[in-house]
Amino acid sequence: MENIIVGIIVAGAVGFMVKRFVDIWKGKKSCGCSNGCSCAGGSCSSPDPFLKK
Amino acid sequence: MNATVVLAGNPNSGKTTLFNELTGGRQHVGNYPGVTVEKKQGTCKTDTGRFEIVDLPGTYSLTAYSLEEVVARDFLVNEKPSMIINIVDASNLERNLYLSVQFMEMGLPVCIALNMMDVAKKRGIEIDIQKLSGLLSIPVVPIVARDGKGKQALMASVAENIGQSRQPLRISYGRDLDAALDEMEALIRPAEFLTRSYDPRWTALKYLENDQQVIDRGYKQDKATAMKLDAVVQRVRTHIAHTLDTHPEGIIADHRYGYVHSVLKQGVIRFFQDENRIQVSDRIDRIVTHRFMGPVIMVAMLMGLYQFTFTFSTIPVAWLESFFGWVSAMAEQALPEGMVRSLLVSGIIDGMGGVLGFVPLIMFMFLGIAFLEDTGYLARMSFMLDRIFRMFGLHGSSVMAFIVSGGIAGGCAVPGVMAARTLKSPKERLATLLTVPFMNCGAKLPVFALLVAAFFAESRAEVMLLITLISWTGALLVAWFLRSTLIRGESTPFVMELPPYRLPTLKGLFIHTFERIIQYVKKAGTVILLISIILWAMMTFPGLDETRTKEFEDRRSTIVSGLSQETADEIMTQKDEKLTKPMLTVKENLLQVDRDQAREALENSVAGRMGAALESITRFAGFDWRTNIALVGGFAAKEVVVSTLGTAYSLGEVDPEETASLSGRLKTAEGWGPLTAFSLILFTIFYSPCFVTVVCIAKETGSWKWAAFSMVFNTCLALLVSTVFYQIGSLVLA
Repeated sequence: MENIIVGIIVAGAVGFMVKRFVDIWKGKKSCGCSNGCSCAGGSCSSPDPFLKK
Repeated sequence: MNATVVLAGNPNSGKTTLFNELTGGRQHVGNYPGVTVEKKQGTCKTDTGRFEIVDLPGTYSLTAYSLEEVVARDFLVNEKPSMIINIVDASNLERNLYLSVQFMEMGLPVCIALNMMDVAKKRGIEIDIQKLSGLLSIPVVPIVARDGKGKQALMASVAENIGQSRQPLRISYGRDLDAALDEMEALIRPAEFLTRSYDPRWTALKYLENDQQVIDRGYKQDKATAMKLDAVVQRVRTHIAHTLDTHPEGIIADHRYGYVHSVLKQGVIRFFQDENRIQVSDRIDRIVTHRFMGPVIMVAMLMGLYQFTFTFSTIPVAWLESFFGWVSAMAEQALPEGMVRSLLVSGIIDGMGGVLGFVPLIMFMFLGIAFLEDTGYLARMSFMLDRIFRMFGLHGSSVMAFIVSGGIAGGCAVPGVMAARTLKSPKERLATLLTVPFMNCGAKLPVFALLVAAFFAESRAEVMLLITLISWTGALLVAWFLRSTLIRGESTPFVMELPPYRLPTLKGLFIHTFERIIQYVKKAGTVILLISIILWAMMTFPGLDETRTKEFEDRRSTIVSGLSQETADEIMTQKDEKLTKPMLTVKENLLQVDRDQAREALENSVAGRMGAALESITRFAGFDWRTNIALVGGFAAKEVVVSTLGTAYSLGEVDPEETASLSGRLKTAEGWGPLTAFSLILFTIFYSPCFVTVVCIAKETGSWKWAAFSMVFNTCLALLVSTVFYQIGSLVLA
């Protein structure tokens, strides 16, 4: 049972991480800066000095 | 009424401040030019209607010399906004109106927001608003964007003037150019050459200004007319060069300034103080940007910032470390031994706790940087470093990209790479965006803070300053290397406007700091959490096979043989002080078996095998397999180096009574010492940028080749630097 729970959590983490990487790759996901934009997509609105990855 | 209203103006004139005031937004405002590279949008609701507000990048002109100018002009031409609010710095009226004149020449609907009226008043400048409005034939509203004064009057004026038709302003550019403009207009009108987008006279002006974007667009639409226009331009250009020894762009700028000057001379502006009086900012700059004093002050500022950060963050960081240690111990006691407990304690709490423990340090660092930025000091750093940067083949504009990336520890390479857009020379831009990842971003900060706290606790600020200087020196040397080999080319001149010194507002400092803390915590709760779970799994599975597990069980049985079950249980559950000496020896022997088993299980795990494989190269730099795994994980996000070390050393920890912080664990761990720690610091400074930065480099350069180059080159460089340091250090200390 314990192994199943851990397996689900790890698989979920892998899935989310892969999705996140693909989204960043495609420019859909924000790099995390406060402007909520898509840095990787080349449309970030501010070269903020402190960010925030 | 629903309308789109654009905020446009010179850099650092207060557009983003006004944007935030109108929309209630929290966009980043910086006291240096060029904070906004792309447009931002928000909504403003007033009694007169609902306005879509667009904040454009600051620009001095509408000629397509730089990306900001292209972005601003394209939006104005393509989107045709209902109104442009032209933010004009009242204390620099003449220069700011140069842009206003260009809006008027395009025939665009403009309303001037005369900002910083308070600053103008302090400088002894009085402006006759009515007269200025009358002479320019456009509405002018005084405002102080910083505290929202005049914004309601401004929006009322905007609502009132939307929809009113305007004729483009026609300025005389002298006999030669006026004749050429008339001739070109006569060619443009019948051919309907770009007339869908631009006023014919404006198109002609842009041809005379050698505006490459308009010229290229013209060639695509109608080559024949474009060639005729080219011929006129060439003729005029040659004539002016022979007779006046200048070029049309210079004459056009002179006449625009002449027009502005003539407007202001008609009683619009009055000076109560000597016009040439040296302002406070200039007086400060005489010391702060002094040739010899300036660099000394700059280093002192950095030192002061790091001292401030470490002084105030040490105690709260220790609190948080204790808190996570307590949470870890509680979880360990509450849950039965097994996979779930291991995942929660070693993977999540010890992994994420290592990163979250540094929140106070990040907060004080960001607060200090926000203060320096808001006062206008960062812009002075660009100014002072320009000369040094040029020596290494970079550009003055590169400085801001470096600072944005973490020139003062705490930035981010992604916006730093994007800030390189402001560089006009493609080669200087490429050199900049390949070297900005060497700066110490906010994600590297916890790694440095961890190692500095563990091994250089006596001189934290000094070591942090040293790390900053190493990363700058490394970046400049690499830039010089690249500019001398792969990306050779001429240097271009640098012009920058120094903003006035301003006293930061508490609200501004709070917003800047709060935003960054939220982002840091958010990242720890998402990316770092996910990677911690994955790396925990990689460090746990496949575990030991049955045979080896049985061998360890046999060792345990041998140790406790001869003891009753009750005594064995007592040894493992009672505190050390309640045990007799022989019982303590048994306990220590049992713990040693546990440690051996945990270490072997770790070494046998997927991550352990990967780390061990890399050890054949990295051992020369002083790194063991755990550090290798942490560094590989750091490619996803640099904070992962900390969380992975947290998990690795937690998994190796077998005594539940020991809940030392990660820095405490590293200090006593085998193979660790100041030499290894500094070697790891050097590696972290120079090795491959994180995944997001690599993607960003690929997008910005338009080539995966340069992104791959930055990964491979940087990692090789990092390995070389740390290996040389570690080997020399080992010889010296031997």
